[in-house]
Amino acid sequence: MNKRNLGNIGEEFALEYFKRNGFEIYERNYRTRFGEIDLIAKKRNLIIFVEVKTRKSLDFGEPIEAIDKRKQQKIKFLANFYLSKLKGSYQIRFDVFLIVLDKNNKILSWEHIPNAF
Amino acid sequence: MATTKNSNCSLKDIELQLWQKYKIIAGVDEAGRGALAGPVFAGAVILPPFSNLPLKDSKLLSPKERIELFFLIKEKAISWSYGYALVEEIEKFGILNAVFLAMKRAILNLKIKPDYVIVDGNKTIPDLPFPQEAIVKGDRLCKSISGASIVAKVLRDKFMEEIDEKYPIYGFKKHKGYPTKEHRKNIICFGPSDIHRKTFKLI
Repeated sequence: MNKRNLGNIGEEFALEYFKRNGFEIYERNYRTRFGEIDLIAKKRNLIIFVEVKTRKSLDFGEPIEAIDKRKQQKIKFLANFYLSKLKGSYQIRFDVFLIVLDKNNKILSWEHIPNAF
Repeated sequence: MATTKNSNCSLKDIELQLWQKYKIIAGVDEAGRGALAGPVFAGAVILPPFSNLPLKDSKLLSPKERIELFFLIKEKAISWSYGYALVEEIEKFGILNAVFLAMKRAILNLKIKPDYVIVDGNKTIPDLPFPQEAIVKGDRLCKSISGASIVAKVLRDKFMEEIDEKYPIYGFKKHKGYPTKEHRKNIICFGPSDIHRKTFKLI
């Protein structure tokens, strides 16, 4: 099981989670020259930019540690890029979605951190 | 010269502070100061106050990224423009004064007159008819100057690519006139052309 597939499991789960919580999914893996955002979703006037982190339980460290200052700045830059193409004004929020998988790639635990940075 | 008016607030917020005082702020930056050939370009950009456009220092971007952001600037800026100083002017007045000349031309080319001008670096532009301030590392700290650096860089690169057709032996398409190994080698082999800055030490 490679990193890509691992990430996919997490992203699918996060996608389902936000759908069930009344969000409309705008983008999954929003790709630009400048980088990628895992998930962009909208609910009323709020647009959220979500970084999904998936880890195997045996992996070292908390997944949240993988989202450093640099990564945050990158996501903010991409969010501004995305917003510059939209009309109208929105509230925005940056969320992190953490997922831990067990050795059979079943979801062991997950956590949604709204307004993570 | 360089003002320290804003040194008491966080450097990162310089532009935000200025947008509370002035509505029409133009950022100015230059490209091609260190090149051995070709004109020096300057860009000037006026962004909507408190703009959140995804702009950063042109040096932190790839050529393709710069072009993409250049189109975004053209679409979203209140006004943008450029100016340049020719090789003859660089030779006659020196590179610093030529940079000022290019910057002044860029600002005067703006269709909307700025209330305030912010200049990248530690020197303000002599005889500018607008109030101004120099901001060290402005290309990183201020969106308007980042935008100006992108405009200057993209347009200068384009100019150098076009001039490459006229002077194909030097490889301007690749190095844009900057002192790379290949460029130096070609100057030694073929001698300088009339678009080389003959007052520069390496030529």
